[in-house]
Amino acid sequence: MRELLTLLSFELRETFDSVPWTVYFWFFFGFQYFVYGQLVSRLISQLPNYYVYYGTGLLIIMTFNVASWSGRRFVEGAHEGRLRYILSLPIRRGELFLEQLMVGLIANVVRIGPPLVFVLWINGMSPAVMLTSILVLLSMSVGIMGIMISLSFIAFKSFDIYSAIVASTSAILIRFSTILYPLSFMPSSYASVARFNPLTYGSDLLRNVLNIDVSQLLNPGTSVVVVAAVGISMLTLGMALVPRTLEGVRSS
Amino acid sequence: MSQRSRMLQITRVDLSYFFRTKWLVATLIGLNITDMLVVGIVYKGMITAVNYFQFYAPGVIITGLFFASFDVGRRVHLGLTEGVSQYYLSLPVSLDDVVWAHLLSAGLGGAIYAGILTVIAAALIPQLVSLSTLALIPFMFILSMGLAGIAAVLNLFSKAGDRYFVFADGIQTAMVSLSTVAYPISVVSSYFPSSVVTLIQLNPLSQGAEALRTIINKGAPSSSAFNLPTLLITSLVLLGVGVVSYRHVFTKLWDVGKLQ
Repeated sequence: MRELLTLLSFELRETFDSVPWTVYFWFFFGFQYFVYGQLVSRLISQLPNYYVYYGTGLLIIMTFNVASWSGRRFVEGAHEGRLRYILSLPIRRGELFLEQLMVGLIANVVRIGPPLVFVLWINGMSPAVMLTSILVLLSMSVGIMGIMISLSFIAFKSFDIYSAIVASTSAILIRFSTILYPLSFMPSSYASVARFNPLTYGSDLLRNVLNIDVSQLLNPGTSVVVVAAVGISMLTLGMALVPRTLEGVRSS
Repeated sequence: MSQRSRMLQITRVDLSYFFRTKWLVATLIGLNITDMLVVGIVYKGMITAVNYFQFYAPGVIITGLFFASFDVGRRVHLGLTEGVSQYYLSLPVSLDDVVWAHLLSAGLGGAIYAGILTVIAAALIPQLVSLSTLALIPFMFILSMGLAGIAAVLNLFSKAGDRYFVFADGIQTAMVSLSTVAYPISVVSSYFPSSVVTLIQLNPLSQGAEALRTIINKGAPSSSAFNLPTLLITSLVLLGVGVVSYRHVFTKLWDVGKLQ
């Protein structure tokens, strides 16, 4: 445990040395929320108050981006030789996976926290709602980071293929979900794909917590089960897969 | 071998770096297609003011062109940090040839990428199958070179490390948001003051998207935002900025020997 915390503090110092990325995430939020969101919501006539709907979707997209960044950082560490050094330290591989997840979660809180508090504050949400929303987003982060880090074994074969798979996974997961539009507006073929997407359940769960009135939000009980199940299964998969794939990794 | 053919060889090599990573190019094209076929179609059902699919497809094509041409900045940044640019400067070519080789490859990369997306979009929007679309290709090439000029400015100001990538992502977010790629100028006018609206109209991404929308509308200008001379002038101004910036970047590299 002490080794995990030592490595965690080392990596956090390194992560937050890179201030521009944190500032970029806030900049991205500002443009998407105050420019894109405002203008698109003026165009959308069929869904009342789309701006609030979009704002919550944007928070999920940012959570997804930060979680993907964590997975990518892990893989880049392998290519730059940092992972070789970390593997030489007296730390168990399972603990190493947990440490990587914790770096991602803390980065998520720092990068998503201010925009989240801002969106909830201007919509008059209570501190209890804020806390529950943060819990939902962090649970989703665990699942997404678990997927991204578990996929890292592909990167050890080819970084291009890893980048391509991560980019296409992101595109499919974000577009075929209720992040940007409710199920009721999707063509039936798209909606049936979206029902198998964990992000659909995460987005609808967040909107349930925020009490956003949309005609067709999925059942919150089912959403809690899906988000928790994805988080736990990805955590277990990562703990099982990462120790096997890390050994003998080449830093090509 | 003449200076000109050496420059074209560098252009070819630089361009091949972009298209060599086939998985990545296929994924990027896939991203743009899902934008058109998923976001465009679903939003079409939520928006009654315009046929959003037909409106958004040109925006996606121009965004694709922008990202493809902007990739030259990433290649130059990696070239500067990994010594490829130093190698180019050691070849019997002039500094100006190296500058133009990169800008030409950006222009070709953007035009080819946008061409692929246009062919895909034309399968769903038959109005795009026209001579006007073919006539627009040279303008798209110049637009693509102009957009690469912005990447050149970022190369000028970014040092070693990942700061270039942060700046590039920031500029891409700002330029796409402050354009008419995703929303008509009438909506933009209702939100921003007139000075910002003018800037959005002059944004080369707005100009490119409106040019394609004019073709879809069978020649009727889609909005007051589009004007072919403006597209040319803004692109050429940015191209000029790009030439000056890359000249400065490579002159400094020539003098110092590495990215500082």
